[in-house]
Amino acid sequence: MSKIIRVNMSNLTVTEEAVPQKYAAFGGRAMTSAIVADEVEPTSHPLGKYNKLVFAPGLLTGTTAANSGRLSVGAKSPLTGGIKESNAGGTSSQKLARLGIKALIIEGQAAEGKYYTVKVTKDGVTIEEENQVVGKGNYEAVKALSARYGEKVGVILAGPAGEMKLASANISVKDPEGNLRSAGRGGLGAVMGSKGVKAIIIDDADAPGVTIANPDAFKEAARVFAKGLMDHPVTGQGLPTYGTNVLVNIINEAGGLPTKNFRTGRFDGANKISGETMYDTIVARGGKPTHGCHAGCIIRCSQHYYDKDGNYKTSGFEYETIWGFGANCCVEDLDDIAEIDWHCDDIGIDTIETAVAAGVAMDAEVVKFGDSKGLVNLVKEIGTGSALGRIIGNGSVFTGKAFGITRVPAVKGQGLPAYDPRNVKGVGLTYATSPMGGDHTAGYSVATNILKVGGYVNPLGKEGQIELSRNLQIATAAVDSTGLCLFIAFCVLDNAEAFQAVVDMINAEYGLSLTGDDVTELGKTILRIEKDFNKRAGFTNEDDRLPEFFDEDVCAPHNTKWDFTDEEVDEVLNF
Amino acid sequence: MNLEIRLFADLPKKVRASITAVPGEAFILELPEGTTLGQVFAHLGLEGEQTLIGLVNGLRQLGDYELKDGDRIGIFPPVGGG
Repeated sequence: MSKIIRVNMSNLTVTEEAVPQKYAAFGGRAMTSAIVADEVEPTSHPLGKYNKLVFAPGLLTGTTAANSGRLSVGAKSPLTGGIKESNAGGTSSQKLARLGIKALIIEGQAAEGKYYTVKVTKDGVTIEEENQVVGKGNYEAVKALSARYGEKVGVILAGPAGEMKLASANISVKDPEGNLRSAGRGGLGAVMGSKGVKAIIIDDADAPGVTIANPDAFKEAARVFAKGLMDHPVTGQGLPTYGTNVLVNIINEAGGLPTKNFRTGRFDGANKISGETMYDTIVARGGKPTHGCHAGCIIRCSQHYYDKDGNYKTSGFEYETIWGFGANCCVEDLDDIAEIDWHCDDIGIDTIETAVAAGVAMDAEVVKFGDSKGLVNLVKEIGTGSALGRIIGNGSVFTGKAFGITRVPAVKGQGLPAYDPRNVKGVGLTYATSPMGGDHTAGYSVATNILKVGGYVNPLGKEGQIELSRNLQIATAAVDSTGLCLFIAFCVLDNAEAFQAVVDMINAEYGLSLTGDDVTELGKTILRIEKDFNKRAGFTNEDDRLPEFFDEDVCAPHNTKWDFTDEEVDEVLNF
Repeated sequence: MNLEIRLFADLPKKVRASITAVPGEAFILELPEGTTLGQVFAHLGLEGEQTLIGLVNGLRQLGDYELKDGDRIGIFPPVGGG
């Protein structure tokens, strides 16, 4: 991957540059965060012309490495006001890599009310005014654009929520079957909408492909890596069978399933929305219990969930989505949650942020806890552009302000996901300190606190948690730069040979001789870049705090509070 | 003593034939005082104790953990997600 493409939406011009030496060892999140930090004024308005939206495939993307097709998207976030990298599957990342594009940067801003489709091919980039799919739902838009440009092209979309510049708007990416994957968090769809970019088409017909410096070494390392994934019980069996939603029951049993807007850690209806129930339902209705979000995925944690009549309803039906609209809202109807997931995908809005906002709205009795049909209607409201829909669509903190609710589980403006920080304390430290805001993926301490992966640290205690969150945040920043799915971590945390194979694949592709320590150093470098951006944007240590109700309200069943001191929290990313 | 057992994921299919279990639904096992978690695994006919996750009253315990009357026990194969 040898070039950076710049698309300027102010004057509708495109420029192509060679990759500067300082970015040579970067990919994915390293690339998006470095470009945002170098080129975006940290105090600029996230929806203004000075913000930039960056798409980057990972270091290994476009190769035959298993699970290497993830896409990183970066910008200053309208939700947090800080730097953001959001990550998605789908087909576009591999196509960008095969076209030799290390980063695609969207900058400037189109004239008010104008929308464009940016088309990337081996011959260059064109910008065409878009009239057909503006205002349309994502499912209709992806179908129309695939019909116009060819079924095989990659499609990246700002949905109706992005056009409305809602702070929870996601960026949707077409998957191998023409369904949708999402760069969900942080409102990057609003940034795309603010640029006047409705869609990006990636056509890799006759693309040069990725050059491998040492093909034999690459092939061998890729084989070892794939075998590691297949042999590990989580990546080889648990995730392919039940998807991520297998977590509902174990997190509930461990007392960490946030219920009724983070009041307790157990939900009586958990088993009705569990991965086991979902699997049985999918099989009974003739759906697909397992499929991959991109070519070359061998974990295949996604699925096609069908409705009662045996018709496709949604895919990529994730634990966080089901927790959020389920336990968090006291809803136990999986079909209604699937309906909500479909609408979120169609509107182009982050399911986690929307679910947390819905829980806050339920505290204000906008809809009653447990009212699943009311919740479906509340989410559909976002797509209508009504005042209520726009409140919810601007996220949990905005919703709390609109309704005078102080019980808002969020850090740096971003709603907290599916693990109560009082009963899974390691992930609480990640929520508090990640430059991304409240984000579980940034340092998934749940693995070691609950899932028996990468050793064991007691979820209710403080001992070992600071180092755990720190080490996982560093490792995650590095993995997010490779283009590998983060779930490979379940394997490589337990399997040193598979971890080494990742390093070996990078070395074989680029002709390098990196060690494991270099990979750790890459992770640290990325976090330093991101922290520095946030500092320049006005963030201080005081922003690295959980909301005060976690210090004061006891969480059943373990009757715990959040008990880390500010000084302890500040140690997490002090390196 | 009575123990409240829940089995998850594919474990209900892996227990000995004399035991009927549904994923996530509680059933009671009556076992002698002093029974350990590992002995419960063995009683259920579950193999691979090292890879199983046993939560007793929501807290992870190892095979030698001695159980008490009324304990709530959840048993999981290796799972992940996020």
